Amino acid sequence: MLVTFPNMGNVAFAARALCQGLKIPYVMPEKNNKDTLRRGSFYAPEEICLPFKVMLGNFLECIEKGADTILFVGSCGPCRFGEYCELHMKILRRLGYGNVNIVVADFSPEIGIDALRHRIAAISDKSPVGKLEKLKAVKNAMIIEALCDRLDRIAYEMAGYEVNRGTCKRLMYEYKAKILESKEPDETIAMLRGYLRKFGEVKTDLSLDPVKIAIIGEIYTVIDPFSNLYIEEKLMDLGASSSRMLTPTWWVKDLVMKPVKLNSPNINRAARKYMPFPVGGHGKECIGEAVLAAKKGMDGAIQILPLGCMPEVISKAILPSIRRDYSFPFMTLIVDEVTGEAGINTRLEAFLDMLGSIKKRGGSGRKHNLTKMEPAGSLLRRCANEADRKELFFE
Amino acid sequence: MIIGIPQGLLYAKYHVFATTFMKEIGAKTVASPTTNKSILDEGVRYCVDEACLPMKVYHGHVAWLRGKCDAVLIPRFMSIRPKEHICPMFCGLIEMVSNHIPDLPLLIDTPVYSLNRDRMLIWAKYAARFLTKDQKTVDAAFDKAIMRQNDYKPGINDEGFPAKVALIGHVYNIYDSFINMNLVKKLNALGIGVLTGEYVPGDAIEDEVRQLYKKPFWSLAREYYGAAVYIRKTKMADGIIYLSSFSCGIDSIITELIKCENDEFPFMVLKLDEHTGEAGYDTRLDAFSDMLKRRKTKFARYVS
Amino acid sequence: MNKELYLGVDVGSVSTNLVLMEKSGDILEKLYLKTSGHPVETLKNGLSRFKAMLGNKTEILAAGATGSGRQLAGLLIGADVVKNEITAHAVAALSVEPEVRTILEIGGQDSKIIFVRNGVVYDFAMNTVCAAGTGSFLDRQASRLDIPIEEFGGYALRAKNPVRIAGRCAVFAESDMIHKQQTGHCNEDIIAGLCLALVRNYLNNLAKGKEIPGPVVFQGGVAANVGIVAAFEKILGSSIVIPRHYDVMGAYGAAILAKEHIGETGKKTCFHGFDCVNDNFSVKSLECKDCPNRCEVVKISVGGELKACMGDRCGKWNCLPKDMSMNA
Repeated sequence: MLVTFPNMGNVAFAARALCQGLKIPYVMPEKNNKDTLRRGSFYAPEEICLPFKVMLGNFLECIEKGADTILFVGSCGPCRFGEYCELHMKILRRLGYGNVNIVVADFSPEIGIDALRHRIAAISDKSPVGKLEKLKAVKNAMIIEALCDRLDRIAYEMAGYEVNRGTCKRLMYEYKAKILESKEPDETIAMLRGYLRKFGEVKTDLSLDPVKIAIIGEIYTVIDPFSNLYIEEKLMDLGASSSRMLTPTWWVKDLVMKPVKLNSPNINRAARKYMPFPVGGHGKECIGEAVLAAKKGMDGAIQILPLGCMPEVISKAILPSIRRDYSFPFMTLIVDEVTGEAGINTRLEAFLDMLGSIKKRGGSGRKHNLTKMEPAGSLLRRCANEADRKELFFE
Repeated sequence: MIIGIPQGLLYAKYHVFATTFMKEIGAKTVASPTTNKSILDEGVRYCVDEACLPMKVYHGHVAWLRGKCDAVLIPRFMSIRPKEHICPMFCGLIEMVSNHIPDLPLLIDTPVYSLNRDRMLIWAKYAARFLTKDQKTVDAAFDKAIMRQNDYKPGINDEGFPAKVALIGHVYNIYDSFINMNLVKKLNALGIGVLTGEYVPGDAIEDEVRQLYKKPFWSLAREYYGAAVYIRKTKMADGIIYLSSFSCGIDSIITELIKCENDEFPFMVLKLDEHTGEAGYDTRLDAFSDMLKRRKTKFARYVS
Repeated sequence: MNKELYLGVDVGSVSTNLVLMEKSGDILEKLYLKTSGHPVETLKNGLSRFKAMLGNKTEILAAGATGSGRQLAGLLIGADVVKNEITAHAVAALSVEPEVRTILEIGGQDSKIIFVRNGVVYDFAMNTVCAAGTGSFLDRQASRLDIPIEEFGGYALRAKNPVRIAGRCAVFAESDMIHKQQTGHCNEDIIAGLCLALVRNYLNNLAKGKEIPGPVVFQGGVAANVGIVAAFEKILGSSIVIPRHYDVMGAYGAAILAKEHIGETGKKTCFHGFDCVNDNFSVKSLECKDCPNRCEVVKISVGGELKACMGDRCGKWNCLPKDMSMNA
């Protein structure tokens, strides 16, 4: 059995660590690129959303390298993501890969806990290690995911304050390259903690007042840099500080807390006025984050969604009202197979120019009292200490 | 009080219930006219670009009702069967409408969670609160509305045509002759009878859907998939036309699932949006009908 | 004494515009050239024409570059400021009409709308996906109907009953036009209908649900088309201002921004002179295969010596001169 998994930002790193911990052979999908998308969209239905095409591309690449089992997650609607696995199976079968087994970890109550356990057993039974080792592998994978998310968050946010433009981006590229070299989850964790310390040593100027942007929108396209045309890295290059709430770590936490209705209470509360009912996907989160960002005193937000994404289209319809109520500017970026970047760069730069000049004029004259705003760089000061913290996952 | 009912989306399926209920509790009702060019234009003007055609049309219907009624009934369909979903756009429809159309009257936007009797009674009580709080009136009106709705059996099953095609797709595409450019009439004129999904028995749909790895969680998708596969298997019709709206998320999945199962059976997807040119549309219908008829004669010869 | 001037360059996908601005802010010379897929050649051509016009009695105090080819152009000429075209257009419109609230800009490949409040851009939208309504689409329709593009707008004004045309997408609009031609409508009515459809589509796409406050300035190459202008006035119900140099507003904005930049920093210009773009220049592109990102890297060399690289994400190829950092 040769396992593989789709690539979505840092998730692949965690999945890789899981396989390493379980001592199961795996194929690491390549970082998403034009070829991945080209291949995926060739076989995918015409009107399906972008994540489906990229993931299909991942699978095809890895199957060619010999993978025969695909780890995947599922959901039960109402957004299209829940139907991905069914369609992936049918397409792979049509392409003659009927032998490839897709293991769907579907956490929805409709599937039932027994079916889930059964599916997970299909993988874990193949692992030669003991029960305790297995638990440790899962824990390590989660810690790696959390560390990666944390490092990215620091990098994106710190980029606005760094003295030498490009330091944070270089560190980020460096650690991502090093993960692929490491053989053991424990080794990876130590290395990542080291990078937390390195970020703490980056020369920053906290008196700088960069443009602060919230990245909101559909989870796959905000997390996967290739899908959103590397928008966060572009913001780093332009000296802006960006932050986003949706990360794979958040996703897992949200999933665990959902049954007891304790998932992201702040986001839900903020969204209630504009979107009282859930619309599937992360439409409600998008609205909640926009409101929170406005209240926190961020300068603007960028919404990213794949073409045809149903929940995000609803959010897009609601965002103008938030803009009006909070004088909070935002920009919507709809991504699809087009990889031309000139238009995006122009819009992004103009958006930053606009936010910068509004800022210079003494803010947007927001009516609302700002809730407590994180002092500039408090995150940065913390990160050196955090390097040695043990429990990173559930902050 | 005058209640406006937009003639879009699931109106085609549930208008009997809505109209009867509102009338029985003492309201006057006014429905928007069947879709026309100006309604479509208004809808396109107010609705987000990325939404599908039926949503845009619905915006147009709501916009038309402004100034002609005291409240507009826009039920928020969260789900119509337990443990299943409906398209996400339905869940957020109220927000889309209320954020984009100015000068709206009161919106009666009580959510619908399931179409079973108990849940609907809760809905009825809540939706009626603007008009009457009298329990008995509501109960009586509800019973009558349910009865009428149950008597109402939409669906087309033409007999006596040389060939027959099954028309699968959203009711708001199939029964809106403006959006689908008189599809049923056009098919009839080509000598093709039409069969709609309502004539496929519910159990049969359930059986077909069970073959899938994962049961589709959209109630509508479940129906369309099951109906299409069943019709193909039992040859209830000679071919299937799937009427799909451009950028409809559900259709993009369902048509693909049907295609995967479909080998030889004539199957065509007609995509609708506000720009669909009638000339090209007619050509495709023509060609499809020729194909059906030719296959039929060839097949008949082969058998005999 | 040498005449002191500011240079603005706008390298777009369809046209390359150059502007020489005087200290007073007036435009001394302007050039509107077709890029035709050769930005470097066109730029070189434009600069040498400027040189021929002016002789040696001038001094360039600052230079600015904008447009989709701004990075390349900025490197080639040694621009002090490299700015995106939305900001450049806004700055230019504000200097012509300080009270402006809405700026409509339709160029060769894309269209923009910019909203200004208290002299600051507070919202904008840009359409890059669909070509309907842009200059190149109108050009193509004009040549299909066999009408010179200069007279295209005039036809629209003579129309009596504009026909209805679906304008959202270039492909649909074109097939709709062909259909209307085949059913016998005259060119005037079809062109007027097309103008109305494109304007309606532009407003629908870029300004959905937004108010369009006046004064409205309309600029970009398409502002020359009286048919489109009339359609805008009809649909907006108010008159719109067309600046005298509507066709080179991007370059004008770049010149103003360059002047501001030099004024603020007090630096000397980095401008390489009118001869800077010569045959020694070579621009090569390659796909970096070192990681799966597969960046398309552009290498610029002068006389065989590698001067600059751009287009990579990780920073490995990036050797931009320090003083020319991306002034976004």
